[in-house]
Amino acid sequence: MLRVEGLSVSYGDARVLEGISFQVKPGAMTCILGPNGAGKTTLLRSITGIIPSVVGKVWFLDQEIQGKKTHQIVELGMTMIPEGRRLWAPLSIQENLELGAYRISDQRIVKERLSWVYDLFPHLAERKGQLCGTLSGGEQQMVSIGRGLMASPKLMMMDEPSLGLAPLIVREVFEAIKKIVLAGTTVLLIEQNTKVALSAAQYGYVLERGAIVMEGEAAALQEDVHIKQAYLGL
Amino acid sequence: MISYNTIIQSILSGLLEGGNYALYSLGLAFVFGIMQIINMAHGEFLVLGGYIAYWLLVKWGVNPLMALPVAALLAGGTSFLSYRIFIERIRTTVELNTLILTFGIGIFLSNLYLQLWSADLRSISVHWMEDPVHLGGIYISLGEIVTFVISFAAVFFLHLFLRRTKTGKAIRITAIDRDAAALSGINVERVDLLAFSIGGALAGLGGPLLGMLSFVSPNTGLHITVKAFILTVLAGVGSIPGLIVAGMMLGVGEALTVTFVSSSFRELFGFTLFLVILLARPSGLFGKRG
Repeated sequence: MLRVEGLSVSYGDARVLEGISFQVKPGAMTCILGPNGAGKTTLLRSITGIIPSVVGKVWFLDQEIQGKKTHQIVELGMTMIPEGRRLWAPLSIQENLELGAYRISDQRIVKERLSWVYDLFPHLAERKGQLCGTLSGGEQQMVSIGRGLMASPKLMMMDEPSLGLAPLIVREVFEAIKKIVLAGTTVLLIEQNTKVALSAAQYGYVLERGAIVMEGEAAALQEDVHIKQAYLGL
Repeated sequence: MISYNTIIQSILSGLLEGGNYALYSLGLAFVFGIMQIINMAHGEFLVLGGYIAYWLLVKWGVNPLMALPVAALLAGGTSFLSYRIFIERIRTTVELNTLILTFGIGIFLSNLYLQLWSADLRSISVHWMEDPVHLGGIYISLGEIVTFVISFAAVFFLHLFLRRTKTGKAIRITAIDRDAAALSGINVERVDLLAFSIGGALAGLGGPLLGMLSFVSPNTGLHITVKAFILTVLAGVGSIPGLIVAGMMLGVGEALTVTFVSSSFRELFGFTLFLVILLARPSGLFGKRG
């Protein structure tokens, strides 16, 4: 579904990503693990075209997408749930969700998607009219995921959905992400929370200091000595 | 001795004039709030609208109110071209660049007007506008009322457009979080172009009113830009309805200054108000703090 080959990104003289190659298979959840500052967010931002001018190639559904504008890439069926939720705070939950489906002009489809998101997060349905600036971190994360889902993406990339959330809420969010995968959306997850990510994903990559240093089935990574020591604290 | 009626009279004219100030500032406030661009060519876009209404009246006898859409369209078009040809290229660089560039565009336009239409002051005189309306012992002209209603409607519909329509919301969310907007499939560069063009069209709408109430000339533009900037900051950047209140404060203050002090202190009042409000409330009357 998504294939990245030799992706390199620099900020000025500082090289942040160096020859990254990986792929995301359809219908499953792939995760990219790594510590703070490894370049995880930069990776997603370059795939979605928010950071232009990168070296390397990116294929999405057999199309080369590097160099395209963000809205064009989104139109192909990719979306990203950005780190820190990035909601439009002065707007209501419902408005945030509806604007996630900006490109869909058929109001029936928008309504269908909306009721699907509300089924997924019943909590949000009760407070549609509330302004997003007043929500808790967990609720904001749900709106952010819901907003991404509104465009019916084929691939949904998530940047640290567990960040700053209480363990109980993290579990709730990940239950929803699993349902999203079951409903047919492929997920690429970027996480520092290794334990949660590996138990939800099927395949994983490890990104350290701008390069992929390890990859494998999630179950195998969980048993790996390096992962255990460096990420799981075992 | 200044009579009671004179005071009421100047307050009322000030309020009505203030409504017009809101329209004169609307385009600048909108572009500043949405795009963080201080459009120094704002006044020239407005003056263009005034000239269009003037020539339509003089050449073909077109009612200046009918000229409003034409003025808005042509000023909006000029704004569109300015953005497309020049401003777009430096949009993502430091903000000072857009200030300097739009200032240059303004100078170019005002000199163009000078070449095309001479330095004469052009006033759009329409007889029915002079018709007096009596309210008790107070007198106001029909023109003052009509222009006030138009200004108020423009502010109201812009507000509604931003709050209720999909395109309006796209403009707002692009201003709040550009990346998140792009990730929702919004073409943010097109939104920029649209917002700047709307800003120009709103300025163009104010031109005929300015021409009817006073006059336009090639160097009226900068004067308007400065006034619009004062009002935008007074209202608080991003507050469109706040412009009406800020405009009325300025209008009434100026009118009372003229009545009690002297008309030569009129401009001074605006700047003093500007400084005092900024000292007391740095984010303006209705701006968000911080």
